[in-house]
Amino acid sequence: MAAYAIRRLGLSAIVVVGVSIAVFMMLRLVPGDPVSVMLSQGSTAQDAAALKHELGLDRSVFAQYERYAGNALTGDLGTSIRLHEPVARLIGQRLPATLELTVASLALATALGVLFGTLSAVRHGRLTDHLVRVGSLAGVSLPSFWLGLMLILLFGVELGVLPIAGRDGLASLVLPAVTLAMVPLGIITRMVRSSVLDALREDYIRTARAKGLGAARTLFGHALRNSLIPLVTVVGVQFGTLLGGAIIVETVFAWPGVGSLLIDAVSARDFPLVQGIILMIALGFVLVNLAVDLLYAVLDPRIRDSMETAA
Amino acid sequence: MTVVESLPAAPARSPSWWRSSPTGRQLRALVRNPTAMFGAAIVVLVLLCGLLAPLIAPYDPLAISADALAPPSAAHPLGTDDLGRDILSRVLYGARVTPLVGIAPVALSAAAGVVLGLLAGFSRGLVDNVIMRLIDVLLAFPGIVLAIAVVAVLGPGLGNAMIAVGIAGVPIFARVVRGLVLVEREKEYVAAARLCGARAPRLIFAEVLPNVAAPVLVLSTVSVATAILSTAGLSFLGLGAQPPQPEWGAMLSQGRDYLTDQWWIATFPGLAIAIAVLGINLLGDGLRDVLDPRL
Repeated sequence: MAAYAIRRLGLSAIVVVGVSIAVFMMLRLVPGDPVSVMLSQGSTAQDAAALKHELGLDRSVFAQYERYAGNALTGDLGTSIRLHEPVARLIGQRLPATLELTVASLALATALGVLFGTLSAVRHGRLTDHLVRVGSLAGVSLPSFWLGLMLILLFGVELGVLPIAGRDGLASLVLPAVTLAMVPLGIITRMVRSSVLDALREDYIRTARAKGLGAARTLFGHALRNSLIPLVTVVGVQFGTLLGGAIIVETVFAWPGVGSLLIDAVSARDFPLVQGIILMIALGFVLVNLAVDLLYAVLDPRIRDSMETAA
Repeated sequence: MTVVESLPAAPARSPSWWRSSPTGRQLRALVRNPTAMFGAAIVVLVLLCGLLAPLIAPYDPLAISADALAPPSAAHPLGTDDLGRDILSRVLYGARVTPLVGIAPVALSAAAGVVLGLLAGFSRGLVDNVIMRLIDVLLAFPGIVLAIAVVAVLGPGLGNAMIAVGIAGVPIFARVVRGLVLVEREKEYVAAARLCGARAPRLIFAEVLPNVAAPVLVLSTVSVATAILSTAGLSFLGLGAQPPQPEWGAMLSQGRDYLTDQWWIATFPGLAIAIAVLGINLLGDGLRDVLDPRL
């Protein structure tokens, strides 16, 4: 297990370096002069020179990256051009809201996904199964920005039972969390369904039934338990999808998270802030994937064995 | 009797081809799959709406009128927006953009991803390592975040949004194709071609590529739905199509400000996106069942 963990950590470290280079290069890839793109109209040549110096664009690319990576390692992600505040502080202020939204959505999607997926597998070929399958396909097909607006219209405007915007208590979390949960819910439901269906066809299930074990105990004690191992990976991957989806959902519900901050920063071409947020999201995703892989190896020894053999 | 005369005639594509050949059997299975056919019907309907928009749209999609914010009526079946433009006409014209925003990014993702995946899977060693670490880096960004990063660099606009969505899809194609190539390269037909003197480019493009085409086609179909949603999402965020272009995501974004009193402005473009994506997903599911149950 230790060899697998070290190898996996090494791969993640390479990806982190690659991510930092990719994010660093963003500003350098802007067509034309990035400084003139960022400056407002009426700025002088002195303003441009000052910004160029502040961003380190007057040095060699290697020196620029060295400074960027060194600063990032100490938590210094630069200063927002529009808000004139340190990027790390701005992200720190908004991050709790985004985490609250994504964790709530993931919990909702996982709980309902396992429930619907199992129900669909147990009632295979019946009406419940068909309804769940159509529902999960609809879940991944509905644009989240439209679904969010429709939920606002129904529960906020027509029924008036839930707040439609902002972050003020648990009630304000309901609509954004449900909207964001819809895509992972569809994916988790489909995965659990097929996984439980496969497990129910296995010999050990037949043996358990032949030994006189009840249907409920066979399902919960054997079939569901084994089919939930792949769920760890799916839930991990969905965390990344949720971080991305949160950007749109936060914009719909005026949720004060890093997603809405990112869109404002992109619109204002505030590159230090854009780079800081994208770096933070990517690093978060890499960390979650690392944790998921390690957890998966603990749960299923075949994975780490195959990795160790490959290494 | 000459040698030529003694050779059997090439089989014509007769009803027996439909029954006996693998492709014929797959097509038959697809046609018999009701959900896939329902999906295909929706896709055809959306394509027809776009194609026939100039003939069937009751108004010019860009024509501004005094009849602003009018609710659905006989004159305007889906109502009008804040500038008095007919929503039905704009939704129909929006269907002209949809195939483009669905197919163009996927074509970019598939072209780059397939080449990278073929090279990585076939060459292994250093080339494989470099390509796959690059793909790992791209995969570290959730799809829409990578697309937003690309738009941040290139600037907003529908064309740039499509390029961004296309780039975000490259790592998925590369990963899938590499995995398939690793299996295919060990098969006997590749060894036979190699023994016959075929060089690497021929082995990759003439032998291995046709054998990974079916899963790539399935992945492409599913990716078209994702591309439509992502591009519409970018337009909704103000980073894709710009006004006054009748694009569904941008129309939805414009309707957001009027949601409480003029619900129709945001509702119908969103419904159009949902229907189109559902149709493609249903068709994609059917294709996957028929062509490649592994995906």
